[in-house]
Amino acid sequence: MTIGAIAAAAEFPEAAASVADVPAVPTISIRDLHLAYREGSRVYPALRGLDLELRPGEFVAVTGANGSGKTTFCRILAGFVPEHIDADIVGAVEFDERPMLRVPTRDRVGLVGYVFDAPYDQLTGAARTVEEEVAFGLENLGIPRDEMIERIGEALRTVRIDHLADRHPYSLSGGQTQRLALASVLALRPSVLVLDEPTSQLDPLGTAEVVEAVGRLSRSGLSVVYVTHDLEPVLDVADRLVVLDDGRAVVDGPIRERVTDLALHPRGVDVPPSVRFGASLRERLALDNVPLSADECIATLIDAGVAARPTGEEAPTRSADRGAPRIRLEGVSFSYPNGTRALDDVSIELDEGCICFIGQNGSGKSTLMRHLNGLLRPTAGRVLVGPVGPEGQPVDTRERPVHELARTVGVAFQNPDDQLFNRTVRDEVSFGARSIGLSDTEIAERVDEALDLLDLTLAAERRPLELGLAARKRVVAASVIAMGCPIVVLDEPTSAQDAPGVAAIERAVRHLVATGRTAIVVSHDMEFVARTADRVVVMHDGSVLLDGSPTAVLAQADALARTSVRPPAIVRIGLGLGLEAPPLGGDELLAALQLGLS
Amino acid sequence: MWLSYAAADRGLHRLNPVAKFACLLAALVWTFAFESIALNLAMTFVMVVGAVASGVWSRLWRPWLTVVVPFGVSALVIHSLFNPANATVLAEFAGVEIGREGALAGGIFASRVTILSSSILLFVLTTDPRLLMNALVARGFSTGASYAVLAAMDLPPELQRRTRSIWEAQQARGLDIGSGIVGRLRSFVAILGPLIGGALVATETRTLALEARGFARSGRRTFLRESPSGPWHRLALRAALLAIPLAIAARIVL
Repeated sequence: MTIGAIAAAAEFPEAAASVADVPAVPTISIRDLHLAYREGSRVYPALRGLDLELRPGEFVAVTGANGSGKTTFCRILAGFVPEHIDADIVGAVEFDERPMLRVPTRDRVGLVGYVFDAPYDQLTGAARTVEEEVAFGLENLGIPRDEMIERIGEALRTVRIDHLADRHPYSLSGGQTQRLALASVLALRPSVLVLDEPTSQLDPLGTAEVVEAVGRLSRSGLSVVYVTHDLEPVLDVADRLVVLDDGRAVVDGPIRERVTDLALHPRGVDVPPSVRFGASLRERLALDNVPLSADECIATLIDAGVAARPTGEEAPTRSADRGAPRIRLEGVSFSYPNGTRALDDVSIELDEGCICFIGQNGSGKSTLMRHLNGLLRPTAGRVLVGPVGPEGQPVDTRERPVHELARTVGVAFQNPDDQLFNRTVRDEVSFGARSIGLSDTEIAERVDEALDLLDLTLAAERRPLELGLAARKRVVAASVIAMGCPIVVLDEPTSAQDAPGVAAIERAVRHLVATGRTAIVVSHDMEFVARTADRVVVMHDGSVLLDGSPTAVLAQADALARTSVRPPAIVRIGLGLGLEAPPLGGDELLAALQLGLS
Repeated sequence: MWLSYAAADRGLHRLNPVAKFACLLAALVWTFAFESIALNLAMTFVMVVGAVASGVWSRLWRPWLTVVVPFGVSALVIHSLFNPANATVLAEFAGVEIGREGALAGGIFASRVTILSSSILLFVLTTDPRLLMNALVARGFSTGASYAVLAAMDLPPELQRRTRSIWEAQQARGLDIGSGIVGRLRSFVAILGPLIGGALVATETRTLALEARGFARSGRRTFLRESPSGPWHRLALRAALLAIPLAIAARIVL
């Protein structure tokens, strides 16, 4: 059914027959849209006069700070608001000039496909195989079985997971699950694909897989609305960039032009380092256009004859004095009850500073973190944490309960919803400190400090579950930091964070290091790692693949590729120009190429 | 550990889920309609054979041995010794009399518990929740109600997984799970809170995801996998549906 027919059936039954020839991929017009959510007597404005027109077949990247209205915009397109989420709305939403605001979600199936940010929550929970998961929507539409099988195969092939057709959906990795969600939507053959931060919880490989699949769909004529904080992966595939701020579109235009403007005026957007670097190159080399991606920067520099002029000076490394080990893993192996071997003879010492663990999903990072505070006990080998014994000697994690080890090693897990239950953010942040028996005075001081570090002071009296995912993640990080443990583990703290959120996490990590504590961060965010880490440990297949300074480790592109990690953009540019250990920052790279400010 | 569907293609797995449900329900009705140990033992035997034939006996015997048998034996002992209806002494050990009437009542109670629990376990272990949902929808149940049945069958393992994650996360923030009544109460709140709160967050996303895939649409539905059907399945269903009122009528009349 075309959009016209759907709209007609829903709102103008008498006109249904006359609009059957409306094009399948609609022009979407949003005019002066104001929207406010209601919760009891409180009103939360989300859109304040949004004006946008989305043309058929466009790939539109949408970004903006958390709370700028991105998700609300997506939910309007899918019809979730106001049908399922109560809100006051004024304005117009039209698909091919047909009013769509009140058309229910069920009548948009086959027109608008929606992929959520949480890979697992969007599974139906009603399928034992990947095939069945994709079939769910088709069954609801009453598609004949033969056609259903054809569409399932086509959708799975499009996102390249047809080899997983018989697997249980819950056995897939995050990237595979997100592609399954995409396949489930594609099988319905929508004209407009809406993706709300689809890669925020994925590793670099998972992100690349999803973006590549969506890019191919866009080239085949589908309209794509792609919400993201991370613009770098979509620079080469998106046609247009929209930046939302406070419920309005404040930037809107061809992505190559608009992202260049953002390099000068970021508007709270995390501008890709390659774009910032490209903007610097334009200035220094008097270029007409800004090279946006790492590859374009490399090509531009080679064309300009800059590649052969490295300074020869060794790039600075941040890791020098590691200090005494605070955690020691000795030949640690671990297998889960189902036989999966997650760690294989890992021996490593963790000391001071910020230590980032990177590697693909399933490489053993999270399993290793669960060993640091005794949640998991090694199948072989031992983990020594110290000094926590009566005389300051290290203790074997097998000999102490977890709540006791938590005084030394605090862990903030990836999913905040596994932890939040208190009435206010302040109570939640106090929880850990109270659990380990700190005094009220200490608790008050540490909680205020943690709230401030993580930009949560203004939200201190709000209910944690009222906050967005990014803020909820910061609440959990704050609660662990407030415990005052000498070792703090943060699992994927920057996922779903906007630029100010990432800055807050960085600030907190730097504060931990400056106060003599060890910050262990598990992250897929290579830019964050490059900016923050004193040491990088790369995991692969349950073992340590690389371990060293960020400059040394992140330059090993071939080794990193084995665990599905790409070096940060600036490092890739340096490597592309023939530097063996490129610097991590754009300014340093410019200096190394003798392009720095004179 | 919670029990959930054990995928296989043999025995009771091949029976239409609705027919299977009706048969097990009929067995229960007969068990409770007639006070006959012989009948109950025969049904128990049939269920054991069904479990073995379906390849799920290895997953059934453990809960039987750890829960059902101790519960049944306790009931048998208590009734044998203390049932007020005891009038005939069946045996006497060290001055303690075992009453015939109590032993009989205890035996019936224990066998009913065995059949009740076995029916539920057999159904859960041999019924693919998705096929059950399809079968219910095909028989005219609302999709919402059918999905609720499916979700209920899949809920325990999911709850168990989430509870474990929450338990780990709270311990990592210093929560002492086992320190006195107050500590345990605090732990309970710290685990139950995220369990409910997290479920609400996940449910909102899932509800929207289901909607976006046409879950609320009315009209004819098709199925990628049809539930088993055919004359034997229809016969089993009709026989079970006939047996239920028969047992109730017999109970009233006899």
